[in-house]
Amino acid sequence: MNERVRRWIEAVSLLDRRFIFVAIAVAVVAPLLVPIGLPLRTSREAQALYDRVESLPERAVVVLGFDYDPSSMPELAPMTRAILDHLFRKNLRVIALTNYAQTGPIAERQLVEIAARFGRRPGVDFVNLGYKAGNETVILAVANDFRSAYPVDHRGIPTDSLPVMAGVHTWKDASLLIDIAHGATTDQYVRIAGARFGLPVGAGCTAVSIPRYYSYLQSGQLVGLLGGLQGAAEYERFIRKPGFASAGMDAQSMAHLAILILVAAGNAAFFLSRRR
Amino acid sequence: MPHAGVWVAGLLTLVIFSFLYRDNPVYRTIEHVYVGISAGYYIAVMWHNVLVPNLLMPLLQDGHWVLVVPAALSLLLFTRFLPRGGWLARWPIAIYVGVYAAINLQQYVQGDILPQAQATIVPLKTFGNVVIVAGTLTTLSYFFFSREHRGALGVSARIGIWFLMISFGAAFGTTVMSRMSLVIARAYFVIHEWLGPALAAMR
Repeated sequence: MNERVRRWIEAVSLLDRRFIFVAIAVAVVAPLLVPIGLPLRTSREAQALYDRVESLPERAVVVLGFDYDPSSMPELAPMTRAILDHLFRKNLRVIALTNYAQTGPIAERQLVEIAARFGRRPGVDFVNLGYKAGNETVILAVANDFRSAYPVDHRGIPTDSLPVMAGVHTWKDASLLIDIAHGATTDQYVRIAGARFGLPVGAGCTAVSIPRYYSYLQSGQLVGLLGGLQGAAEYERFIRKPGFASAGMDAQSMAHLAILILVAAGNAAFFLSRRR
Repeated sequence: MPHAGVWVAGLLTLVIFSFLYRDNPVYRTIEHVYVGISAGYYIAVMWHNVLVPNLLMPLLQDGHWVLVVPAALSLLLFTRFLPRGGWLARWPIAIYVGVYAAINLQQYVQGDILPQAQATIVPLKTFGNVVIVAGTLTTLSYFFFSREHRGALGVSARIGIWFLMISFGAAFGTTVMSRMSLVIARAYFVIHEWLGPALAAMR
């Protein structure tokens, strides 16, 4: 082994971790300052979710689960906004709910802002049912009646008095459920609303959860899936409204490239040092 | 010019990132502030969104006195902190576990185990289907501990380990992707919502 290789192995082995932080910082910040416009491949599962929404007739009921908190908003808020944009543009009725105590106001803000762009009105075109403690027990309660599970909406208005709830009593009266979640609530919807009551379920999840939900996709228990920032960017592309997710994908790709180079260099140094 | 909230968020972001260089007192102070604010906020949210609408209002306003039972059971959970009588906390935990198991037993069989098993019964006509069937069987064989992993079972278990390793690798890769998204969101905020508008306003 020549001297140059030996010195390179030593340099990689003793690399200060702060060098890695700087490399990642440059890979993330540079594309945000000067967008590269790398191509974005759309996935079958994201396309399937978009197509499912696209196929719904006007005024069909879509239940949207806001099952995340601020810690996952960078990944899940962009896809929520893109989906809401699509739902309101198609004039579908949106019933929002959450299994997280702190998420009611987050859902309300996004619903009101995006609904206003299309002139959709609260109580008529959408409702935020807010938070109800109980997870599975609430999902089961809705199977009996939405109104008994949620007597009032997030604003305290009786659910029964809302025009958007006309004819909507159980899961069977909805056409689609999309759960945007960073936890296990999608599993609960799949097991109860999907498997037991036959409601088609789609999902948006953090990238961490993607492998877990592929099994539900393969079994047909999920009709579509958006995964992480890429899933959000794909949906932004479908609706032709690039936002934060699209802007972030260049940075995502460059950061992954930097990590790949660092992993490859580390492994190369390790195996070369073993040969020595 | 960004408002004061954006300035506070931007400066706190930089303080948190300063840990990447080295641990420092300012970082530790802000870390404690974050934990304190989060805990306080969560308690307030739980009070207003759980205890008031589900317990206090129905109990005190509507007279649903049966709710005294779950309230008492909830209070029993805190007996763990007492020097004596900590065993009382086992009662609400036992009821909770029992109810949860009863609710979920059927859901898991009907909504998870059967559809997932059914999805592996596929014709071996495509490469993807072969991978699904082989992956399921060999991975299950790895978790079969009633016989020593030798011979055919050993080979199958070894292949199962490879499937497990690939799935762990995929999980790790997507975890990196997820964490990067958080970094990107913070960088985007600093550049496009804080420093960018601030510099533009100063010009």
